[in-house]
Amino acid sequence: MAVRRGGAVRHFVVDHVGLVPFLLFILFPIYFMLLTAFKTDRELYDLQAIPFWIRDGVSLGHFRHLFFKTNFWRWLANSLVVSFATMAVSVAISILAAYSLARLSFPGARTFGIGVFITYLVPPTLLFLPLTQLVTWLGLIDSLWALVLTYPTFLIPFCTWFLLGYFKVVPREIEECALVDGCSRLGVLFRIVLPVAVPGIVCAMLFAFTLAWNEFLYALTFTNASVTKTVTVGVAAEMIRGDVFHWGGIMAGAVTGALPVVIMYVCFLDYYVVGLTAGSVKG
Amino acid sequence: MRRSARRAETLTGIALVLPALFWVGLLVAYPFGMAIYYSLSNTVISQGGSFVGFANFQALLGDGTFRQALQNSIVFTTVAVAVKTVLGVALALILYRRLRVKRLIRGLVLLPFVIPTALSTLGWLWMYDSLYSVITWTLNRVFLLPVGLGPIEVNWLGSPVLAMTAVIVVNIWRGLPFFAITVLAGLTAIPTEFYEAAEVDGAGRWGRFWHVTYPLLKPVLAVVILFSTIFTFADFNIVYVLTRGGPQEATHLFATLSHALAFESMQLGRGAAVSLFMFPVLVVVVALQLRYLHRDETRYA
Amino acid sequence: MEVVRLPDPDQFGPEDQKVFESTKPWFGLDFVPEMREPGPADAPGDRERRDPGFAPGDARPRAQPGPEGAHRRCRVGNERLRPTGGGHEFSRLGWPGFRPVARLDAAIVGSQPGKAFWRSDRVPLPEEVTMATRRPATTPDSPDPRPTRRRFLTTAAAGTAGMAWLAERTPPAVAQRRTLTALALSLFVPSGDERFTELMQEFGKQAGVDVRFDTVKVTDVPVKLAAEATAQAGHDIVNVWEAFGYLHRGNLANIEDVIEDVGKRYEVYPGHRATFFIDGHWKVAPWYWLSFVGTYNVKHFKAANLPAPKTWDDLHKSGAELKKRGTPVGIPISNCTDAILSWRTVMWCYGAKEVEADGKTIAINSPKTVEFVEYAKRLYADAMTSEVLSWDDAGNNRLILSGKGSWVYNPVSIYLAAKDKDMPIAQEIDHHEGLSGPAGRFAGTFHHGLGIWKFSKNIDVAKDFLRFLYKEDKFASWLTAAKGFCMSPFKKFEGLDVWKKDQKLTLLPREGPYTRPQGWPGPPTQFIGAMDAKYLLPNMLAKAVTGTPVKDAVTWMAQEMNRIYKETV
Repeated sequence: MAVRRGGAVRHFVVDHVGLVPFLLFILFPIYFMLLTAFKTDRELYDLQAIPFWIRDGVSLGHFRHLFFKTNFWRWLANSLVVSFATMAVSVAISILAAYSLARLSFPGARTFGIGVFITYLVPPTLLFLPLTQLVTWLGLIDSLWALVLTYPTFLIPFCTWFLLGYFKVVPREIEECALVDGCSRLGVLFRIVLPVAVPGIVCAMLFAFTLAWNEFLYALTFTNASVTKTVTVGVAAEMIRGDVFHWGGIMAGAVTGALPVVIMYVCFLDYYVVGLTAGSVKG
Repeated sequence: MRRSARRAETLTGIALVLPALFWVGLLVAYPFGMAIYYSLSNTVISQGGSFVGFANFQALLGDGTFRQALQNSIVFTTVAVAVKTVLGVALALILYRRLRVKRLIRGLVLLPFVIPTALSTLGWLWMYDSLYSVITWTLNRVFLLPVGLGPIEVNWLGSPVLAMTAVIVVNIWRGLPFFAITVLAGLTAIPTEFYEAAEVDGAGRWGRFWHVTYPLLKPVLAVVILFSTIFTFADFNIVYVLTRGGPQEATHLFATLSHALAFESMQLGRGAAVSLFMFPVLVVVVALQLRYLHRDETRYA
Repeated sequence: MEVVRLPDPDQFGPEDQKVFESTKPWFGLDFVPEMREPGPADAPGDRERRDPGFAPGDARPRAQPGPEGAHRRCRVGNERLRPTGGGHEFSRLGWPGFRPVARLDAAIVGSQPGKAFWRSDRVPLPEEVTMATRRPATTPDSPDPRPTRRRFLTTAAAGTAGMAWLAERTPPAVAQRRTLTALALSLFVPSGDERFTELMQEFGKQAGVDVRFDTVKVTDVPVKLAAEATAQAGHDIVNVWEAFGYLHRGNLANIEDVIEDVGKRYEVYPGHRATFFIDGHWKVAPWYWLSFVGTYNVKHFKAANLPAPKTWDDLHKSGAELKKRGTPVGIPISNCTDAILSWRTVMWCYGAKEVEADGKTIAINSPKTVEFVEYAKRLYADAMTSEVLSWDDAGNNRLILSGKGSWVYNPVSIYLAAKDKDMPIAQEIDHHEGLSGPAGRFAGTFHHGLGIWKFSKNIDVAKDFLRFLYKEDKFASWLTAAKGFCMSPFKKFEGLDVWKKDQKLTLLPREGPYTRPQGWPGPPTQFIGAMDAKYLLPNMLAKAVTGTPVKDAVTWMAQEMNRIYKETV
């Protein structure tokens, strides 16, 4: 790696200087949220305080209140369980459906593909009232099962559409090879396509997990008891009392509630990028 | 033989698709049907209603608020998606260069997408607060006061234009990572031979971008723009948390107007009608983009 | 399409058998190999056709590079699935563990013992193998059905059982302990919620029921009410306020028996009766109301040498003076409920009204309204800053808490929050009694109550709980736990200690007689709710204070009210 000295520095600067405004824009709100989570209330509401750093000392009060005086850990566990479960279910079903739409032709395939996509366009704010009726009739109201049942309604269309584009990119030759050698269709899917498509599937899983984790409306409507709530609903319910927003607590909940998703992304980031590549190139 | 082969394939195909069909169909078909019924009725929550045909839609078309919401939605979506595209491509190009700590930066860039929207928007609400806004503070202390201009108080969420800008900024903040990372992935898929060929042909930076990068990025961009349009058009959380519809309806989108009509005015029929209005517009937009995609696909296949 | 003949099973030797067994199939799909010693199977000619590199009698087929590197193309996939037995090459015949499956009709007809299942006369094509036709093979040596079939059946049975269970999830009511559930908004004072939970639990022990108290944030309660009303199932007791009681009156149970009794013991304020006595029945049990009072910063007023205002006009005069000193007053003129409430109170004080007593006739377009709007315009221009145009419900809190504001109209949450957080500004905050105008003195408020859904299965238990709650000591304890933030709907509790203790709070209960429901002099109907959802009143005032001529603004509001009326009533 032959690098000229002066040129190296210049290259470094040029490469990175363009990044600075973007990073500022993207990261400042997060920094601010973190800061707010650690500030004392006195300083938060003090007009004379400088909002860019902590003057009165780091306070763990908000976190302590969140962790020990509310059901936060329960909410976190609920969110994790629901997100994992719905992600698994949705991605599994989507793999089957996407493979079928991508490779097999049968009457109604095209209609089904479009239908799946149209379902994704229907907004949840429209659906959730009749859905409540349905969920109540099934006796699942106020349980996490209601969420596991209803989240796939928007996760499956999304994942199917995403994986459809992905499977189309997997070269047909490998599958044909295996078919010739006597493999069943399903076998081809599980033994050949899936290993090759792992990045795309991981990408779909991450998307599904994030969407499920962030979901608010269904979680609000279908869960009542505090121990059944998910993180987003619980933090909002506990920290917004009457007309008062407890900003410190809200921010503490926001950053802690985002940690599991962040960790997941960090672990699988490479798969994510590779997965997006192939899938999105061909759409 | 061919017939039974096809029959077997049909069976497999249908069998694989059935779980998705069942799940989504059962759980979406009934609510969707009910929503259509509501939109054709004058149901008021807890008081029932009767069929009124298209009266809701007619009334909405004549309603100033609805027209305002329509305009808001179009402005919001267009501006947000356009800015996200430009900034996303720019950021992707920057990230594409050989950077140190690439993984870390990519991870950091993804953060706004990953934090739950309901909670990150609350963070922005605090940042836009009329009294304690950190943006106003920075404006004053860093830019205005040093040159002698008096401290100003900006009503970020209180004046129509500023409120719309504020809401669009938050949407851009949240959507930029998705754009950047996806376009970056598309960039990495472009073989370097093309660039080398272009350089040999004497293309400069801009020439390389315009003749190599952009055409090969178009499919990726098309998909991402499609996705983003859908997400942005149907956005609810940001406006709901920040302005609840805004100073005098200046930031009402379809989704928030529908929510306000259905749960504050309790006019379920109207609310459903607003939501359903969103639907054909989205379908048209999506169909147009999909057609463009297919056309491109055959070209690049 | 050329026909590809599949190889015979006798090509696989015991080594291959081991390999097949050792590769665990994914997802429990059991592909069954069936091995036999290779024997003089087919004529060499057949084999040649199938595989040019394959010599007859060979026990172990080897991967041979075919013409044009055909085999290499097939060598793809996951390392894990390659054969693990010693040095075994990847079989050309497919992945280890594969087993082609015969066609559907062959499967139905059944395998004949003594014959390899898949050795039918017609060799199936790859396209014909499907998941649906899979069946485990049988040989004369192993007549038992494979575990796979049993496993499949048991899973199917379990699945069906699960579906049945899912469909009939409600257990018989007889065997079960009843649960009383209540839904309310997250009270500003958490101790109030805690006390309510304790009261419920106390009652639960007494009555032998389980109890649960759920709270959500204030803006989510209407959503949940709507969902429960639509689904005709949900909590038993719900917190409704103002127009929501009227709106859901069709779904709320009549509770005269509870309230008449209570009313005899304590006197119910007129505002509550006007709000919750609907269509000749008590539909909602009065619970509390929020006292909106003038909250002001004593230091600022003293510095300007002004007493606490007594009329709205006083406020204007004082406010003008205070704004000059940099400490303006603030009443929100934006899309928030505080705005509606505050300005409606002012409106009543000036004798104006939105609807007549029948709740339907629009009465906004009157000279009294013009007078009221003129006042608002004066107040805004002289005593407030433009930030009130963007306030949410917490805007006035922040104005006072920051020390910048001198007067707002709010419940005592500001003072209580400051006291709680130990902020120095708590010393400077005080309250004064409601202001009066030319038409009298009124207090804006939200009347909160507890309603029982008609479709609840525990109406009787819920009514018992209400009776329990209304016991003097219980209700007083709840009011005390709410730290004086929630006012009593009954005259009886006016003198409680919680207000006497802190002298800044003593005046609060005295506002009781002056409260009126939203939409007064008419009932808080859905018409009012619809108007409020569009924030008509604040929007009209926003128009007026930002330049629209007053008469035009008032006419605009009358037109909008007309339109909403046509839609909602």
